[in-house]
Amino acid sequence: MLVVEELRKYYRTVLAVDGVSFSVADGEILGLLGPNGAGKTTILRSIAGIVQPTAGRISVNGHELAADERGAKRSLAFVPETPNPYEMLTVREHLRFIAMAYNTLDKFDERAESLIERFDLAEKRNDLVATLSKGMKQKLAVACAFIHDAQVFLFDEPLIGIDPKGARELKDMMTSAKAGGCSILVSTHMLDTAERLCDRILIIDRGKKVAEGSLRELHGRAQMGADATLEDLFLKLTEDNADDETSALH
Amino acid sequence: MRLLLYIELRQFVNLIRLTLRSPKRLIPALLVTLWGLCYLIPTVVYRSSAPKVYMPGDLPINVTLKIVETGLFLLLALIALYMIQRSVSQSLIIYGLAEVDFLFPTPISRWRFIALKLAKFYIRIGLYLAFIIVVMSPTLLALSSTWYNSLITAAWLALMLYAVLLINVCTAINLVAAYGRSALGAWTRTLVRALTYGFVVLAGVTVYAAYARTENWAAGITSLFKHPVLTTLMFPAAWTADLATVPLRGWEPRLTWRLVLLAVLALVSFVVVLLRKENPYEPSLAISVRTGTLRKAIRSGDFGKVRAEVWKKRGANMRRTAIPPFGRGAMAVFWKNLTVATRAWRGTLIAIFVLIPGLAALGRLLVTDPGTLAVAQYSILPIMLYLLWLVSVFMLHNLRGELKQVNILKPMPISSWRLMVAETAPAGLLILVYVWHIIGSAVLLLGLPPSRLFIFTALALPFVSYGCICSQVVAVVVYPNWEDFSQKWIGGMLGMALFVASMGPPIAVGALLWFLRVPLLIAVPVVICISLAIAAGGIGGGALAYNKFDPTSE
Repeated sequence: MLVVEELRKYYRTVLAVDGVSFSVADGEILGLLGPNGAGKTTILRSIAGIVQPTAGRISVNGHELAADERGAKRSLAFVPETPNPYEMLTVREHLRFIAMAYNTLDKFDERAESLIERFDLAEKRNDLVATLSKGMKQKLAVACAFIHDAQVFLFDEPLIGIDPKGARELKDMMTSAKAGGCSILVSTHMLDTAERLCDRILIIDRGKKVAEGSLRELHGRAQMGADATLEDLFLKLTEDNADDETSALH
Repeated sequence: MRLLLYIELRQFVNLIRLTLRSPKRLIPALLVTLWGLCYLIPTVVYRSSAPKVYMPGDLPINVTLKIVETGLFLLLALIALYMIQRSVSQSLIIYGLAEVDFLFPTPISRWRFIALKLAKFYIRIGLYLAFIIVVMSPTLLALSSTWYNSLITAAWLALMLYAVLLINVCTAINLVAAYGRSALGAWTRTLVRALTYGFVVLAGVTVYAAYARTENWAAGITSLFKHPVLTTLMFPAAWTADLATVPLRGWEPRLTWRLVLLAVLALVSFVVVLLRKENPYEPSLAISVRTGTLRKAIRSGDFGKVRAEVWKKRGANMRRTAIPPFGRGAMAVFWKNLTVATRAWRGTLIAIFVLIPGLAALGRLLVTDPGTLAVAQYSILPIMLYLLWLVSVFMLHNLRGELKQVNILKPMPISSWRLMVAETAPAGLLILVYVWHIIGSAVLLLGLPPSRLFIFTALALPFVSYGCICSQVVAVVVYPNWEDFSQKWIGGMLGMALFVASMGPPIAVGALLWFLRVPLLIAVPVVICISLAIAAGGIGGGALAYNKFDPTSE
């Protein structure tokens, strides 16, 4: 389970995330949506421990990130938006290193081979990462997330650059992880995918939470008909938020 | 820690394997190694037959040693001030993008990362210092030392410990002050600023006061090393300067304690860094991303990308350099290039415009001997040639970047040769301004006589330079893609060959006319005509190549 409470993050004087709270239950996929620069990546990086929150509380699988960072990270897997793997390691070495980092080497061979096969990386198994295409690097990053026993998954635009087969594999793996009781937070601009994949949606804009809930709840919030797509809801809610902020300024 | 060492080791082994398998990598690696080994030749040769000129402590004048010590103290103190000031906003340790994406989220403890990063930093600095000492060893041998001498080892150790201390202090400051919003961070920022400005003001006042007393600038500068506040404030720099000059004057017992205390300071500062609780990743995150992108762009030779990355950093300052739009057709392209050049070179332009008159004025204060001043005019020429080379490199990269935008440029109703002129003209203009600025400063501020050589240079060199620049255009247009190693190699060699070849005729003819004492009224136009002919040839060749240039093949 992932719990984020009153997360606030300043980059010097710029407020990137302003008091965002949400939680992702076990066996749930939460979609994180928002326009460019809304603060989605900052939220994910804060949870992953890459940036330090200015204020707020983050709990990963019962471990407080601030007090027990290593405990929290042990059950966490993070797939960045544009992964930059170690170019001078081979694909297998890269997976091995991730497994070593999470101390899950005992199941490594079996898991690595399965992931390599699933993501069509078999031919590149012993090639340097530097020789991989952008999409293959993305697949490798996803494979790294599943090589250890993560309970909470963070995905930042995971489907960009991946071919349809890889995308299908990833979605299947997310669904399996969900069925296995994992909590998944996915930041994406692909609204149709979010609509199908996510149990709940969290929309943020300019660092603030605009709306949160299931698709049905969002329909109610946006006061739109049942035939409105997530795209319609997203545009309506973010526009409403912009109008509110403008009128508040005046 | 085992995991981190595993990554380092695997990457190193894979890099070696990759280099050995690929001639594209192997040949440059061998060349670089040979180049490095060349530095050792004088050391090896000198070791066997070096005449012993001085013994330690036997330096001819004590003042000389004092000046060396003071110079070193100042250098170390200034480096420290610069690095400390910088560490408030920028991290000294740069994590790779792979580390940000894949290592930071893992449950490895922070202190292990930092310890390994710092250790790598120390090793690199230690090797650099050792290399410098080995390269300097012929000089040290003349001073009756050998490069493996214990005194040199002590000097290396002192410099090394100082570097370690400085790296640790900067890292600690960066962790506390760069991104934190804590009171401690605010206090640290204020303290660092106060320390820096205080040191600079105090140093300035000390030097001026000593100069006013003795009317000797050298005495003014050496007084810095005697100033109790400055040497106390910067005591590690003072101790290191003291220790680093032992090969020149021999060991003294008091130095042992200083070396031990430096080691203790380095160790304590290392522990302080490891004990800090702040997130070490964030201060380095922005710079890691920027450096990673920049490195990739530089490696691929894509100047357009490099420029974009550099400009992102400069941000709002760039907008201040605006040239009002002018011209139509090719002139509009010239305006665009001029605007780009002044924006890209804003800092350099300002630095050169301030630095050159400043140095000239300082030279006039410090150098009073007319003989030395007369020699100075000959040292100005290499500086100008260096600037010419710099500008030509800039122009070539810029043109390479421009070719990426060929989809915009080619459909324009502008003939190719006009376009090539518009592309190269800003570089020519820049050279003209530099040459005149340098010569003007030398005459007006340094007080050099406006000799025949200066007039000849001021009138002819801008044209010679422009010819050299234009001659390389063809190499850029024919081999524009530096992501392709062979294009980069051949294009670079061809450009260099054309540059050198085009410099020959005007310089040879100019030198001949100079020695024949042909009046300037005739000599200058002759050199200008030759240079313009070369420029026209270069532009013509470049335009022909540009006509055939196919953006899709790029």
